[in-house]
Amino acid sequence: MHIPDGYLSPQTCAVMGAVMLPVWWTSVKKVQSTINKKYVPLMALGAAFSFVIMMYNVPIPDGTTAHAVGGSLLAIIFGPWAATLCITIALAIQALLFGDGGILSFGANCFNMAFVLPFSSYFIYKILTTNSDISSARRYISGFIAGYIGIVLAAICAGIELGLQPLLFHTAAGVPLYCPYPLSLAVPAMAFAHLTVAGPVEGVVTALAIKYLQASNPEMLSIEKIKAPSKAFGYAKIWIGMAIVAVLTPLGLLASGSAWGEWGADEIKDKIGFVPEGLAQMSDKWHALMQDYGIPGFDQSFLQSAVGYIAAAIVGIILISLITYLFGKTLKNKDKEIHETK
Amino acid sequence: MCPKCFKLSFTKSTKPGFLEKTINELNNVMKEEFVAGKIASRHGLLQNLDPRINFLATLLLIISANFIHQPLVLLFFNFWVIWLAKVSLVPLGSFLKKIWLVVPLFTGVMVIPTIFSPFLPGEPLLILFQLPHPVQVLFWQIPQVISITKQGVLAAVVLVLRVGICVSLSLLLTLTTKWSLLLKALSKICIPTIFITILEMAHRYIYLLLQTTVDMFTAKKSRSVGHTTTGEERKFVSNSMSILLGKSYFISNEVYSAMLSRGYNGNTLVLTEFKLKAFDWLWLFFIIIVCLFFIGGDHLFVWK
Repeated sequence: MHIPDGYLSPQTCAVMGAVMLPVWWTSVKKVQSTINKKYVPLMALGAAFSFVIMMYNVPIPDGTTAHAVGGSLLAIIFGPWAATLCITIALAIQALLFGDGGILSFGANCFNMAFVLPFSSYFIYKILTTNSDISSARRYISGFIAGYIGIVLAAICAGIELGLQPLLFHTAAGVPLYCPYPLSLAVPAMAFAHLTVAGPVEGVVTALAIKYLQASNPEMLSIEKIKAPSKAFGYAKIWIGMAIVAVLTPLGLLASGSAWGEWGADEIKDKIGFVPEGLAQMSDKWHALMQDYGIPGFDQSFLQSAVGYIAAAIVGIILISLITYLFGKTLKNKDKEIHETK
Repeated sequence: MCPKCFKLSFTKSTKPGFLEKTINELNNVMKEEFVAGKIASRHGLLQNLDPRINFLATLLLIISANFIHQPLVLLFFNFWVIWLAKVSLVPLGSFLKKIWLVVPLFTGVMVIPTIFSPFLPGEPLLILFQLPHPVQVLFWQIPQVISITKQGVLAAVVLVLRVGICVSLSLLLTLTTKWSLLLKALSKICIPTIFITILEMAHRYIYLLLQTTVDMFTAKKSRSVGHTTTGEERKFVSNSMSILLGKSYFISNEVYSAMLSRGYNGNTLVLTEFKLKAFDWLWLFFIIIVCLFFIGGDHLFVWK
């Protein structure tokens, strides 16, 4: 479910990051207000735990293995806000240190796995286990349902993000610029894979882990209950803000025309009635540069123009590669000087 | 340390099970960290840059790559990133293997259906066969002519090349910047210190928990005789997770007590001071030129 960079447009990544900002801010505030200073090592260990159990191979009936995310278990034990923080940190380590999931698509991955998954799992578990004993069978059965539904919902969100790409970003000829599968294919594909394999794995692992804790370490199951907020924290503004963002997001995504700030000179003329002089000059220079990309006298046909462009591109590539090499060379010479002076 | 020591050996008669798979995967994580640390210590181009500049440059290049849609421009971009790795003294063999074995295997396989007309309608490049009439499967319309389309091939090539660039740049950042310095650089840019503190601690404890897991799984493996059912194995994995969670919670309390006894008061300080040199600014300026060069090329190089 980790979406690498390149599948989502930068615009989508920016929107998902913007949606996650209030969630991260609230999670830090919420965890700080409920666990006080103790939360730093607890969240660090929680994130390390989240990272490590994502690597556990869980045997499945067909003889192969699958991986669980463990987000549901974390949400049930520590609460959804703490789980958000733990999984976010685990995802950051995966993206920065192991290249698992993109840097630009970090916001989208966090939305699916560190927000939708723990929150949906937590509330399903809470609703199903109301007034139940720590040792009740309802707890681990609810754990299964929470884990199963949580991961499927997260997968559907990932499917929607991927499926929106060809709808919103394609060339005039219909070539999708990012993920090529539309909603009608991306959502069912993601949902099916998680309904059949990843969902049951997450559900079973969560249920068995809760069952084991009931027998051997029941106090772990009441950690979240003990931590009542030490001071009131105003969430109303955050939720209103998030609701506004949620309402405006589709409008921004579905808006037609060029992206803001990417208008051509003609579009600017339509918008403001004239073309600023500086822009007109820049536009002319840009076209002049475009002409210069070709080879003079070798731009009669498309083929000749294409060959000219390729030649110009190769010269450009060689030039920037040479500069890159010179940067490296400069450093080597500096190192030599340092060693000689020593 | 010999890399082979990390792999468990199996006799021909026994297929590696979930225990061996997990142990080897966990050991590989530790091995990769060890190798990355060694590469980050070399005196290559990117290793000698200020980590903040290295991170910002990587981010700018990834954003640029995401705005490029011409296959040829993306191909040149890929070549330049490989050259950047070479100048940064990254072993090219393993670098290319990590990128160009993994990306085609995952992204490549994922986008193969795109080239066929039922998944992405377009101008036919090669007609494979014709159905008597279009077929409707639920909400999916299968056209009468099944072909490989120009739009599909372009979309697939662009995606694979772009993902290749992004993964290469992320890997290059990881290999050429020490983790501790990268975190401190992030804290100097825009990320709240509290996130960085938790990140740094989490990174340390990952290796402790990895070792704990390896020990648990090795103990289980060395004490197992005969056949176990899939259900029993699943139960063992889930129980191990619960034990690990319990241990994590216990260790976090211990660590908190240790922090308190050493004067921790809830505030965290970043001690490393970074100094930007003219060389760093020059490199950032050069990267901006490179981004403009590729994005400009993308705008000019339009397929007609």
